[in-house]
Amino acid sequence: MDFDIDARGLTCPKPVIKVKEALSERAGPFVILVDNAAARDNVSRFANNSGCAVEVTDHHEGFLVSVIPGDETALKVEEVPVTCPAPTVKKVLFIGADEVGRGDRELGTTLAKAFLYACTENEDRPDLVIFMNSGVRLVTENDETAAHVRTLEGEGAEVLVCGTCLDFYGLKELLQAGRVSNMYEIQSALTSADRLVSL
Amino acid sequence: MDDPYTFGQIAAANALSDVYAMGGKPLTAMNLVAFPCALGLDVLKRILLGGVDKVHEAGAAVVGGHTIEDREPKYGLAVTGIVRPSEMTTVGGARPGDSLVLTKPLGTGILATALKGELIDEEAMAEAIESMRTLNREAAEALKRYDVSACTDVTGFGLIGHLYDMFRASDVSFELRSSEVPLFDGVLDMASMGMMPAGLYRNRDFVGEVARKADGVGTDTFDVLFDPQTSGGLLASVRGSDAGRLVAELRDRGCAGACEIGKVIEARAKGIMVT
Repeated sequence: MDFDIDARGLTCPKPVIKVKEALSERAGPFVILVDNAAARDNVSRFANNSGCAVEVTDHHEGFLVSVIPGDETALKVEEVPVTCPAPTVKKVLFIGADEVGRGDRELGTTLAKAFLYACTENEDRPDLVIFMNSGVRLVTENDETAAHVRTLEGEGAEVLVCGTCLDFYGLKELLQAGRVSNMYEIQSALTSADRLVSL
Repeated sequence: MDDPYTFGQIAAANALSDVYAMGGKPLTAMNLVAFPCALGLDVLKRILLGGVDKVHEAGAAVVGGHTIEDREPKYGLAVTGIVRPSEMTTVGGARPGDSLVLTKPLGTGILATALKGELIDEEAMAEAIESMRTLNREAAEALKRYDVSACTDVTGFGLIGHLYDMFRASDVSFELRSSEVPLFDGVLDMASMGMMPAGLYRNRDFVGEVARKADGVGTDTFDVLFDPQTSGGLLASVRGSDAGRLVAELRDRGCAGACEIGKVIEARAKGIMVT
């Protein structure tokens, strides 16, 4: 029979500590192999008092202790599909200009519009969108792009717009999407991103 | 145990305990040291200082010793004492009707395991550490003034393990009231978290069927009574009618955890009953 945690050769209270760590890091049942009766009893005691069911079977090198966390947790493990992407990846989109790339300005602004539209069509959406420098124009003067950004907000994205930049361009009163933010918040958001796309 | 001096004090108090359990007075002690030089001789010095201070406190002298190099530090003492034969107390002699009195709380093994497992810090163990450093001298002097039939100190075999010694040395049985047995703070909690040292289970297996628990007694409560103690208190059987006054005097002398924990009963019960 297989085991998840090998506690052979570990002296008290290490086997119990292993179980304690496993309960906080895993969901669902697991099996620990211990090589002495004291560890078997300690681990069983700890698991029982932590609200788990415990089953002990003999093993040629000791005992296999199955720890089954409270029923609720076991159910959750069966229902979560394995292919689901981890929900905690923070995706950030940084827009530092009202045009994409360098070159012809008319092309650049058209591309910016097309890009934001494409964002609304793609299922893989950013969690956070940041606008700085001339990028703030896209959520103020430009109604079309502002509407796309509002769509992203409606789908759950947070939108931060640099206050200094809005003041510089005199556009604060025209904010159509997102909320006014500052350098500290923006810097913090950028550095805590798991995936960062920058235009 | 982080502090070398305290480690030395506890080791000495532990070694001197036997002499007090017999109603005697310590005279001399020899150090037994195993030490890894890499730890630094300063550490060793503080351990030995802790030991020598405690021996002096007991009115005895350290007269020599033996030191070897080893991977793990170990420190103990071989103690010699003196006792009047008429005042000597041993494990044998408990009489039905006597009361069992314990002079220090239990739980040093479990707490040490919990400390190792980082479930508690040294501050949480402060009461237990102070208790381990305390000589059983005051307790022994109090006992001399009463009609004590048998006495032992509670160390590595746990309370029931040492009570088992008394059981084998006399033709009696014992009743232990688990709710009266003093424990350090947090011991039952740590017991329920599985912080039992391996020695606890060895003690329980060794005593086996002789110790039995009543239905209402919890497993944790029962098992704690087998916890191996370091420098534990004295366990004495004293004339039943004296027990109350003895406990009061023990507490007056600083044995704050002293309690009457059970009774000596007729042999036919054939064992140690934990209620």
